[in-house]
Amino acid sequence: MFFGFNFIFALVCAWPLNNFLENTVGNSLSVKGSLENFNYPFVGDFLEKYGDNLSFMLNQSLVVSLAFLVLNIFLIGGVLTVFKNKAVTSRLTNFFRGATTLFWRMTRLSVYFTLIQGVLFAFFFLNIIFAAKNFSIVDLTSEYAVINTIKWTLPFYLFFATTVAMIHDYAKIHLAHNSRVGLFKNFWKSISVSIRNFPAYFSLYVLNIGTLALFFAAYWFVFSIKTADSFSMVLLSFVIGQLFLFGRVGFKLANLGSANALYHDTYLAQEIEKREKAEQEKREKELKIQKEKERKLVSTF
Amino acid sequence: MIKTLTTCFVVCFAFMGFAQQTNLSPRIANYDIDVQLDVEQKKIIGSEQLTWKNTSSDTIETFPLHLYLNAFKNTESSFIKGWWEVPDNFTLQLFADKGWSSVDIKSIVDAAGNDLTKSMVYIHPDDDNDKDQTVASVTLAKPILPGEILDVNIKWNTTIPKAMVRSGYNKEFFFMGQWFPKIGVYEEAGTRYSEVGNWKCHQYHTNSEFYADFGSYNVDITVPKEYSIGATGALVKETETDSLKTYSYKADDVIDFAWAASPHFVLIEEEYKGINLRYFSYPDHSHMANRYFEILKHSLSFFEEYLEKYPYPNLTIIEPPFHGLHSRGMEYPTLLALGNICLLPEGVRTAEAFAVHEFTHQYFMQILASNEAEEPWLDEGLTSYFEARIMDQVYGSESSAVDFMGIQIGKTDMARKDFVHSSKAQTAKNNAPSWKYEDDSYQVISYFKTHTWLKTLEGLVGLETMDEIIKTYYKRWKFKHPCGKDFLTIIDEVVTKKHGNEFGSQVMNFVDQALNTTYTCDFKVVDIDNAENRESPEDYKSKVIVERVGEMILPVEIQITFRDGKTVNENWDGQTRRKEFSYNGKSKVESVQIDPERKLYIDKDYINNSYTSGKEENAIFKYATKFMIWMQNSMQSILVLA
Repeated sequence: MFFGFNFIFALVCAWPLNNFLENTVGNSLSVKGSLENFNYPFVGDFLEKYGDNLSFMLNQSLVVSLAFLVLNIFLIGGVLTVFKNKAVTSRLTNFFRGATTLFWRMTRLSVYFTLIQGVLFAFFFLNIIFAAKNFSIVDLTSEYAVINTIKWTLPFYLFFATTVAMIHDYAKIHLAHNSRVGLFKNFWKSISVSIRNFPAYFSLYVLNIGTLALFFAAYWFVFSIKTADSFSMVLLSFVIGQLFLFGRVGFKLANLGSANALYHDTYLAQEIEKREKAEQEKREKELKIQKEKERKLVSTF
Repeated sequence: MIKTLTTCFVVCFAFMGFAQQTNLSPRIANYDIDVQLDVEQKKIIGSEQLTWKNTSSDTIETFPLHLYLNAFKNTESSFIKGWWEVPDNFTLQLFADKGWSSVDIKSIVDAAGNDLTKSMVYIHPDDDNDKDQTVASVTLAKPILPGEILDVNIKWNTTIPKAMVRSGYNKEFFFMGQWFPKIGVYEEAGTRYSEVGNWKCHQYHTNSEFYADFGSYNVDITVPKEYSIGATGALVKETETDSLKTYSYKADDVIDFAWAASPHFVLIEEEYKGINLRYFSYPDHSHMANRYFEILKHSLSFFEEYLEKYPYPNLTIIEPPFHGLHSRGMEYPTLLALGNICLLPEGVRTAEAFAVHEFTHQYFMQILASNEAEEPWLDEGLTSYFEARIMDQVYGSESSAVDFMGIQIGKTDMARKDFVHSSKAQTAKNNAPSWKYEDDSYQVISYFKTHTWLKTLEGLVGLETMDEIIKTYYKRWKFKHPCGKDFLTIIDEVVTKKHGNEFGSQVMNFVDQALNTTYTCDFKVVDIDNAENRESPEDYKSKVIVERVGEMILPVEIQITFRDGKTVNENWDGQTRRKEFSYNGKSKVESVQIDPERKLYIDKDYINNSYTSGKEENAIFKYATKFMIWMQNSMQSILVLA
């Protein structure tokens, strides 16, 4: 379903482009040269003549992408609910109920985390601008000052951005498991849980990202082997592209699933253990009180 | 015996005389300069002995001096007023912070001891800006007769501008171009466009660079001893005192002298075919040396084979640091000021293109010393044309500018696009003087338009003829002052010689339109009509309509392909706006292509040059699917925010 939506939304963007290209340059032989290589004269002439129409289409695609983002926030709520209630038989009902219930809070959560990511990026970017002295040729001594700044700050930025993205995932899972608790309480709770279980959570996250990166590399390698210079090759590269995207969507869900499992094994297990322990202690205490009462009764008699 | 000895002596002296006359150039304006750089005060204290030969048949009573750096004396100079490169507030703030630059002439004394200083007045030959002080005229105490020599000593101080175009300093980097009082060029009647004898000494404008006579330069530059100097010519001597060091440079048969100084310079040298290549850079840019050396060797070989061996024993490259990029991309005799970001990927060939361009100027501007102020197209345009030719030859025409991450761009295609798609393409004629370009159109027109029409000319007359045009131009005008008229005469002469009356007046008409108008070139296939022939049902009456959309009139080839694979080539002189071609036959017209060999680089739209009755679906499918996959990946990536 996730892949299907991805395909349909992208098709909504690409279809008008296809028609537009056919109607404008479809009868020109100059487009023929574009099949084998990047055809700079064609691209240049096309952008000059039809650039305005193209930017309109790209803006349209941006709107479609935002709609896709919102739809996915909705779907992820459903997926996490299904993960949570594995035992429930009617998965579809469960999915949509969860998606509907969680949608608004999931959306707000996404907005907050987007803001955090934005702030992080702004820090990183401003740091570079500051090091680059606004790229002024009067003030900046050497471009190495910028490169060194990037070299030192990029790992930190990537670490924090990854950590925030990871906490975001656990906040969603936490929200799905504690749907009645307030959003901010959930938010802080997920942070504290992520920090408490940081080594395990972060390792899993990095493992998932690393696997995806390898997948990317393999895809890039396959594409670099041969240029698509005929219809069958274009079709083949399209199919490979779809397979890759299918895999990407799968990784996204696998990442959520594995995080959910880890969450279950760590936080939930701890919580259950804690709850059981507390209940046992309560029971023991009650038993003790009971015994005390009985002892008092016996001594009275 | 005595007679024989006398004959021997006469022969020997004749040979010696001949040997002395083997100068490459007439050496009209010669300078002995002694200059000290005050790195603390950012000043130079200079003294020069100017020796100028009156090779004309006129009597000279005054002489003009370029005082280029007075362009940065105040906001009233023609340079600052015509500046497009940097926002005004930036410039003014810079001046406000760092102070203005100026050239202060202390004395001008002739060989007889006459003090001419007081006769000096500022003149403004190019415009009515009486505040501009970049040119001064000095009246002589005694006129210089034909064949006589003007010999004057000039003492001056200059406050160096901070990070200005071409010249200036920033931190400890100094680049000194257009820096010393320099005499103009006297043109007697009949020289270039001059109808009467007159001095050519243009004011310093933002876009104008050179016009000078050839000469010998002996320059002593004294700097703190930790400073290194890269300069025009060859280093002949280094003299060191306690805290100072004097570098003595000598350059013959050149039209200018420039130098750069810094305590941080690293020098890397290499020898190629007897030419000493010297690369001065800051340590963080030293790894660029190989990229520059490699492409410069190609360029040296190209011109050696094409025109003539580079005639100087050395070539110096100054690679400014980031804070010295104000002086990048300039050419001086035997010295190239390059300048790039040091971590450019190898596939982005800006560094190489820069090096080729500035090196090519050694031929087109330095050896063929045209008036760059009046006719910038003649050197910048020809230089751009050869820059692309060399880059295309070395890296392949489709990837000579960029070959990075699947994107390939050719240098020739890039220059074409930079002209035909520029919003400034029609703001000025190609032959406008450098100070007449408005709206930042100087580069678009002088460089890219000229390059594009020269490439189109190559397409029209063929590469062989084009080569003969350039070779004739070089042979006839090397170490002289050619002008546009001379170049056009050679085009006409060579085309007629090689092709007779094949083109009629078409070639020269095209050149005239390219140079003297702002016309655009655009041809278009309007329609293909394949109607069934009623009289003979198996036959078709086909009609092809082509149109000249642009104003530029050019002869053009048209290729018509029929469904059965047969092709017909038609020639159209392009005189009328529309042309119709009709065919009767058993096969329909499948496609039409105007200029199938892509000779007309100047055509602004290749897409409408062809029409095929069947759609080119494969390539469109490729673009659409690529875009779709890109969209899918982008959408999947933004899910990190979901």
